[in-house]
Amino acid sequence: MSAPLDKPQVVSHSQKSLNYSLFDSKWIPCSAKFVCLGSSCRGTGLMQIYELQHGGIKLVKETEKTKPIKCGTFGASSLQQRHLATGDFDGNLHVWNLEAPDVPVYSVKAHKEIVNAVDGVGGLGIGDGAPEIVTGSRDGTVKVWDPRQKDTPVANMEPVEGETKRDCWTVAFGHAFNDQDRCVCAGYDNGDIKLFDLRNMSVRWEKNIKNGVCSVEFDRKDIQMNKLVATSLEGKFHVFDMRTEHPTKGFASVSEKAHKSTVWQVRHLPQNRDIFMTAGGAGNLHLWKYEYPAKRSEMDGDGEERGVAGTLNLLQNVTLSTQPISSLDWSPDKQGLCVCSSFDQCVRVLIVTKLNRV
Amino acid sequence: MSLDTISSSPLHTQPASLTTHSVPVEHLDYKYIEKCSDLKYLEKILGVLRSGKEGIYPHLTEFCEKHIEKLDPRSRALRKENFPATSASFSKDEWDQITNELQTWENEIKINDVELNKQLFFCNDVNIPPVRGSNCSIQKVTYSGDKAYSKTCHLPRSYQDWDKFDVEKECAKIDETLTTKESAAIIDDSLLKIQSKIDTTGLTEQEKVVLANREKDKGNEAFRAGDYEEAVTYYTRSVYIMPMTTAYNNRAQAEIKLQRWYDVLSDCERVLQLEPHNTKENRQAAVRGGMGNAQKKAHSGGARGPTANKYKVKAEGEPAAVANRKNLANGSSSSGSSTAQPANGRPDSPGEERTESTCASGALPPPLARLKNEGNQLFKNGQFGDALEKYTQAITGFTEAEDLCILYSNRAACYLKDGNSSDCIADCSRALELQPFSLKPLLRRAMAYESLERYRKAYVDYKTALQIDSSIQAAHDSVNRITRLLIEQDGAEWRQKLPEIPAVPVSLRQHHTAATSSTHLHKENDTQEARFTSLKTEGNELVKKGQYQEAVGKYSECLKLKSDECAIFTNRALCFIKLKRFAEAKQDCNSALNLESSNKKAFYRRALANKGLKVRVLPLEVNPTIQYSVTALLKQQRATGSPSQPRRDITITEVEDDDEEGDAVKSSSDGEQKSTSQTINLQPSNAYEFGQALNAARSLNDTAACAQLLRTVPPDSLPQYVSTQLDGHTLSFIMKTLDTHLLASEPGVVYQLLDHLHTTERFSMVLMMLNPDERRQMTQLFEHLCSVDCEDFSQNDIKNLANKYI
Repeated sequence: MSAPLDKPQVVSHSQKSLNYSLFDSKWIPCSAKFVCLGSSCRGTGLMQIYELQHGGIKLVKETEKTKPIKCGTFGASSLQQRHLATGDFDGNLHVWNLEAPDVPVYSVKAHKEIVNAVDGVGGLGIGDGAPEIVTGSRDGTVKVWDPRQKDTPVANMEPVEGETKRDCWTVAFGHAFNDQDRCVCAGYDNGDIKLFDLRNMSVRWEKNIKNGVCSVEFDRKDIQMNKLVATSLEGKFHVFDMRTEHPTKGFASVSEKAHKSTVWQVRHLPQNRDIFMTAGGAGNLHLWKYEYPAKRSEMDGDGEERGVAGTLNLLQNVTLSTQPISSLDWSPDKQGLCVCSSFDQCVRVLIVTKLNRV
Repeated sequence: MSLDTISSSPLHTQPASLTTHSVPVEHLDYKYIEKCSDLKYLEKILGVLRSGKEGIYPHLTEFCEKHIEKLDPRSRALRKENFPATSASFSKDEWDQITNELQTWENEIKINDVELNKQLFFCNDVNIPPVRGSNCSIQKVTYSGDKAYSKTCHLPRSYQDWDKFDVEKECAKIDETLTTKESAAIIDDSLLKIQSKIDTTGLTEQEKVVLANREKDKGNEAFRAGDYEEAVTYYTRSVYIMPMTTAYNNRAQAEIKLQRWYDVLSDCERVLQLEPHNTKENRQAAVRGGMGNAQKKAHSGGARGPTANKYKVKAEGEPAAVANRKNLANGSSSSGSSTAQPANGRPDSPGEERTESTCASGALPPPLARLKNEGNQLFKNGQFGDALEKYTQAITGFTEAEDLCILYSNRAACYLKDGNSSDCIADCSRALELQPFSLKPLLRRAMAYESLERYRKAYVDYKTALQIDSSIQAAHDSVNRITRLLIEQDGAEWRQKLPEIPAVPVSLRQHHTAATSSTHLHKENDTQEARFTSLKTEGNELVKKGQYQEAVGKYSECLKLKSDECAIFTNRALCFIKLKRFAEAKQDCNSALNLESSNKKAFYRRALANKGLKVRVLPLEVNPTIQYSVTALLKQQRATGSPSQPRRDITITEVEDDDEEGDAVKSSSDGEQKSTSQTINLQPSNAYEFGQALNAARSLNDTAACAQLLRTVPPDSLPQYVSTQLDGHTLSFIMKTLDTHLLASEPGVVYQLLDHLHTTERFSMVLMMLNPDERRQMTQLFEHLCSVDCEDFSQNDIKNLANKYI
């Protein structure tokens, strides 16, 4: 099948082999720089800042920390500050000023075990309301932090006493379209997806997709819940239309098998919420477009409104490596620019072309 | 190796154990693959081919892929591993564009980055909401106990299970629909509200730009998803942060979708305030003006009128802007995705323009020709505003119809490119006044109408253009598109709302396409024809059921579709008669007779109607009988035609009318009339047929039929027709008929008939055999005949005749 050139192409801009395990990579907002987070072979944490320079990438800063860093986010920081919040293997949540990364501006022992995922909202102008960071950990809890409040989380979601604690693999903010409303979505190793409503402090929705949930993300954090993508361990991912909830049938969803291995990550294009990229365990990336149905909701026989799922359209797929892609991040400033890290200790900058034409 | 015989049942005919994938090796064959239409199985075959277990056949694999693609272009089996594109995958231009774009962005963003770092920042906690729960004790209580979820916990797969995990199998499950029960959640929608204002205190300009753009993007996304309300809210947020023309533009677009015309107007005005020469806005303004008008028309709401008109004036009062609109032309609507304008990608090329101009420029005086050529050149270069001025100058300087037509047409093209649809329409109309049915102005006007969403007019123009030249693909496409839109808008009966499509004189149709064009037209007529027929059938059905009122409705609809159908008029007349609305019935009969001056049914029914009206009018000069004026017609026919061989086909020719004709006769006021038209041949051409008809009438005791029969027969040839068949009963039957039916209306005919009848063979014999009753009848007849005054005969004549009979 020849690839017609009018569909988006994934161009490898530059790549760099590193001498440590990469877990996460994030663009620094409003810059041509990105941060790589990982674990050195000595078991310490590494935080490196790279910058795009004349068609290549160049290391501009490197900081070593005591514990391997698993994840990071800029989501709760203002554009002026651009502080990076990270979660490490020891369960700590730190917020760093990248200009002076020696001491954290905020530090808390958030969890008993590794922080698997972190997400932020309220900063960068994304999401109304207070800046908040959510962390999900192997200890089974999901906690919401406000960088202005020391030591204690502003919300803590954990299973009741006596219940087995499931490993939380992924967390995501969403529904933050005004000062009060805000939701946290968490995915667990047993396939549970839980949606916590932070305004009402209740579990709003639960669903089990049978296999471990590797990554969840709302298409937008700062609008009324629109779509949620959840990827799973065995190579499927599900897209839920979160606008219409049926009392018994819940949210309409469409699922797709894409990678013949775990789908590690899903990231929506910041410039178009209907386009997203999934990163697979076999080192491949798939670019998707969600097509809305003609009518997003319909009345069922009982007069209840039921959502109608759209369809997924594979725009492009590429294989970058033989090892899993551990992280993927779109540049918030330049459409189509993205960075991804993989377990072959490589960081890659990619350009996806023609995204404005799909 | 070919297995054609089992291709219909591809699976399970071969032992499944032949290969690991249960694909028999025989199936790895071109012929088999070509015939197989089972997608799943083909995917399996492809899997085997790709695995290389049965050997590697690159061509066969490719063939299989192509076949699958034919069946389902989105099949998952076709997804292949691709590798990242490199510079080699692009043309040099494309690659340069990509790298340059990135480089520019890199430089820009670095400057931004540095600027951002330079700015002194201080914590602006003022505009950040408080820490969650910190100042709200109730909330604190709610979740101080920590949120706990107590639902039964699913266990993940154990690690041992993963060893046995079959990715293919798990993935295959996805095709089965999974319906899992989900917990019900109650969503409290009452408080879901997006604030239309954002606190931006303490934000730097840079941040505001980012923010405003982001809000606009959200609006665009919502627009694409069809949530126009939400889109408007986000655009509002965007302009609140920073007034940008694009956001206003887009908001206007969303408001159009929501049909909030006042908001649209105010947004457009704001854009023009910000950027007096904003081209897109002018275009949209025109669109909006038109839409406003359309809206006004549709709802006849006076309130909207002034808005639209005012705007139109405003749009026209911006000549500077018009001139500056040249950049717009090449569909450079940056947010084209969100502005669902149908104006993009018009099939109107400057090349076409040139050919038109070169052939005509000879006729123009040199300075004007130059102006026009300059205009054409500018048009070709995309400088539509400048071209517009040139054309305008040329138009003002010259008044020859043919050239003016072209100039107007060209200027219309400029207007169209500029998005000034209303002016385009005006120019096209002018051009069409000068030269009716010229193709280009028609097409341009159609496009302009379409962009103004005046689809009906656009439809008519496209149709007219297609009559002239049916080979214009773009017009066909547009017609299809508009048809869809109109059906959506007006429902199934959208055609009725269309203005009339003018018929193009055949001489103007382009000859090479004339045939196809007419077939196209026919197609349209066919659909109308079908509707017409169905309506008519329904009407006839209703008549049979006796629902005359409803039938009248159906026939009236028919007449709306086709006003030149005689049968419908006569049918409706029948219904009116049944409904005792004689005046209307008469009118219908008159209309029918206007269309077909010799329609018997119309005559007959008019007679009935007249009878109902108790107005006795002499319909035709030949015979003064009103009740059966049909006869008059027949006589006339015979008189003008060949008298010796009267035409036979008097019976009604329209099949669907037969039934109700029966009805009509049966129910006519005489009561004794029977349905005779089918059984009795009322127009005999020889003695045998006459005899048969007469016998039939007599056996039915149908004097009316007999009367008709006698009317059709020329009196002087009556003896020949009767020939030797005369007997007492027949004679008395004829007498009876003459007495009851013909005497009152046509005494002359009666006299002539009687005058000839006695010359018949065996007449004297028959006369002798008459019984007293029959004799009395005859006497009666003559008495009646005596009392009638007629120019055709005198009393003496009657007496003489009577002597022969009695």
